[in-house]
Amino acid sequence: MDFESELKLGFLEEAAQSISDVEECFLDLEKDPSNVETINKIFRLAHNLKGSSKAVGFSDFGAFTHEFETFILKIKNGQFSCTPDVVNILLAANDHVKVMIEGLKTDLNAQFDSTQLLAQMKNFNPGTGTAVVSAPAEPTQAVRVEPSIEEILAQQAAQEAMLSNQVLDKANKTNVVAAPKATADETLRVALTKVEHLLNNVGEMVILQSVLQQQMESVQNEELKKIVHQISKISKEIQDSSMSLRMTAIKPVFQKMQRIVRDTALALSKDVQLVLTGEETEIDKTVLDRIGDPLVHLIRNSVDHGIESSDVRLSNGKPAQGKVELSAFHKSGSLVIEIKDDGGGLNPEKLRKIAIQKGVIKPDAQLTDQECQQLIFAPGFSTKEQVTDVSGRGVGMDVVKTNITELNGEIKIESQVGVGTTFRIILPLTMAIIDSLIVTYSEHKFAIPLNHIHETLKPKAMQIQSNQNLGETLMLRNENLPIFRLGDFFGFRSHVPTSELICLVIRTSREPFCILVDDILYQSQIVTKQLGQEIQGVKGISGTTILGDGKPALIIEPIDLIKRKLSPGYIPQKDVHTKVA
Amino acid sequence: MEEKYICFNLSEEQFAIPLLAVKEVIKLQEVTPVPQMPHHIVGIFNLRGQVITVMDLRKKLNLPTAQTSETAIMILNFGKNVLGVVVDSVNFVQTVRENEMQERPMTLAGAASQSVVSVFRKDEKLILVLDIAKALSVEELMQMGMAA
Repeated sequence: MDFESELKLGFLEEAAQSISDVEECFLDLEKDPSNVETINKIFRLAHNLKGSSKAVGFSDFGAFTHEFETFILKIKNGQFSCTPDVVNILLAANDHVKVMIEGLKTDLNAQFDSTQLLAQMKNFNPGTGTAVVSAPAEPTQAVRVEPSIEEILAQQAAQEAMLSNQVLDKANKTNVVAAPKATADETLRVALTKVEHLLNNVGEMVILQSVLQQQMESVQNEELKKIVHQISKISKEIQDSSMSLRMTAIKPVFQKMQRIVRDTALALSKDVQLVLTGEETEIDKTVLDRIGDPLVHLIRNSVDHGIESSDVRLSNGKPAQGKVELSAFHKSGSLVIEIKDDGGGLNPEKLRKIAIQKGVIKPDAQLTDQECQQLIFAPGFSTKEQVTDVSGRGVGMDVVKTNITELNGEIKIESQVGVGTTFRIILPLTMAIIDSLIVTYSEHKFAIPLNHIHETLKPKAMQIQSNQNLGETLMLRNENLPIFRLGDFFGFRSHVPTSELICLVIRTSREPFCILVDDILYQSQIVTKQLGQEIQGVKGISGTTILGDGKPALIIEPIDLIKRKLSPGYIPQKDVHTKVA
Repeated sequence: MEEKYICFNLSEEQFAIPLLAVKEVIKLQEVTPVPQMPHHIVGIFNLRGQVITVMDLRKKLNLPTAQTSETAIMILNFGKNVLGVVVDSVNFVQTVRENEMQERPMTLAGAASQSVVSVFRKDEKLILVLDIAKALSVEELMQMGMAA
C-alpha cells in the first residue's frame, strides 16, 4: 500500500472513532442544551475532522465537514439554541459523515452528494425549523455566515482559557489542586491477527505445560519440581491475561442504542427515556461485533411494543415518560445483558390467540403463561396486527434468538402484564473457550458444545425402534425422538454395535432429537479456532479445536447438522478418504 | 536478476516454486479428515497451535500417492492464508538466473500443464515452474468458503 492510501485509511479509522464519540455528545446536548462543554467538545471533534480530511486529500469530505463545523459554530455562538430540530440536523449530518467514511473505506476516491444536507444546514432558521427539515433540498442562494478559521480558533482558545480559569478558581477555593482532565486514553491499538497469533502460541504452551506436568510425576529432583510448578503458575497467568486482550468494553454498542431509542420514540411519537448501566463491562470482541443487531431489535421492540403511548400510561397511573433500562454485568462467569421496560408487559392470553391464529401452535395446545411468552421467539410470530415501520421488518424475534444461540448464549423473558417486560441475555464471557463433550465415532474425535446437550444415556436395545418409514426412533419416557448417527453426516461408519452406542439428547432446536456416538471420552473446556477459509462453510461444523493429544478435532453444531439432514436433496455420503498417514 | 526456487518431486517429475512462498517443510503428519471436501483436501493438522489445512497436490493432479519416508508437507503462504501441500519429496533449493528461465513448451499435456508457467534446466533435466495456487484451484476454494 502506498503512503498516501495508508494515511487516508488511518484517517478513516480515527474519523469513525470520533464520529461515534460525537454522537453521544449530540444526545447529551438535547438533554442539556446549555452545556458549554458539550458544545465545545463537538466543535473540537468537527474541527479536527475537517482539518485532517483536507490534509489527507478528501475534498468532498472536507467541504461537508467544513459546513458541519460552521453549523455547530452557530450553536456555539448562541445564534440558535439546541431544539430537537437542530439535533435532528446534527444527527443527520453525523449519519452522512458515517456514510462517507464507510464509502471511502471501500473506495478511496468515492464521491458524495451532500447538497441537501448542506442546504439544510446553511438555511436553517430556528423559527421554521421543522419545515426546513422536512422540505426537499432546494439549493437556494444563501448568505453564508462564515467566520474565518483564525477567528474560530481564537474564540475557542479564549473560551477554553476561561473554562480552565473557572476550574482553577474553583480549585483554589476548595484548596484542591485540579489536575488537568486526563482525556488521553492510554491504549494500544493492535491488529487482531497479532493477538490471535499470540493466543495460538499460548494455547500450545498450555498443552505442553500439561504434558510437562505429567512427566514430572516420575522425576525425583525437588528443585526441578519447584521450578516446573512456578512455570505452570506463570503460564496460567499468561493464559488469563492474553485471553483478556480480546475483551473490550460494551460501551460502543450501548451508545448506539441511545440513538435507536431516540429515533424510534420520535417516529412513534412516544416519550421514552433510555437508562444505561454497566457500559464498562467487558466482553469478547467477537461477541461485541455480533450482539449489536439482536440488541437493536430488542430495544426497538421494547419501545414499539412494550412502552405504551403517554395517554395510556397516564390513565394507568404511570408517569407519561416510558423508561427502558439497558444494563450489562458479569454474573458467575457469564455476561448478562438486560433490557427492561416499564411498559404493558406480555399478555399470555393474547399471545396464545395470535399463535393459534398464525398456526404456530395447535388450538388445543396446553401452555403455561411462561410458555406463552416464549411464543414470541417462534418463527413467523409478530405481536402487532400491523407490521410497523419500526420493528416489523420481516426479521422477527426468532432471528434474535438464533443470533444469541449462535453466540452460545440464551435469552429469557420475565414479564408481568401492566408492569413491564425484561429480556435477559446470558452470554459466555468469551467465544474462545467453551465447555464441550469430546466424543468418538469410528475412531474420529469430535467436540460437541455442552450447551446443546440436554442429557446423555445408554439406550436399552428395546428403546430404539427401527422403522422403514421413520428411520430409527428413540422411545424416551413419553417422547419419540428421531435418532441420527454422527457418522451418517460425514460418511464414517461405526463398528460398535448399536446396543453399545451412547445417545446424546439435543433440545435446543424446536424438535428435540438424538445423536448416537461410539463413546464419550471426557468433558473439557476447549479453545475454539476457525477453520481456514478454504474449508469453511461445511454445515454442522462450527470450527476446530486442538485436543490434549495435540491433534485438531472438529466442533459439531448439532442443529445445523440436522438442518442439513432434513433439507431436501441431501445425499448421504458413501465413504470418505481417511488419513494420509 | 536471479531468484531462488524450491524443487520437489511429484511422481517422477521435478517441479519448482519460488522459495519465498514457502514457510517451512515438515515431514508428513497424521491429519484429521474434514467431511464433504474435494478429494485433494486431506484434512487439518496442528502446527504449533495453528490449525492448517492440508492438500495433496498429487491427488489434485491425479498422480499416484505413494507414502515414503521422503513424503513431505510444504507449508505455503497464499496471501493471508496458510496451506500445507503434500508432495513426494522436497529436493533442493536452486538459484535460477533470468536468462536461464525458458518458456514452457507447447507440448505439455498433463493435468498440470495449465499451471506450468515456465521451465529451466538442471543437470540435463527439465524442471517445471508451477503456479501452485492455480494448480490447487486455491482461489476457487476461497470463494466457496466465502460464499458459504
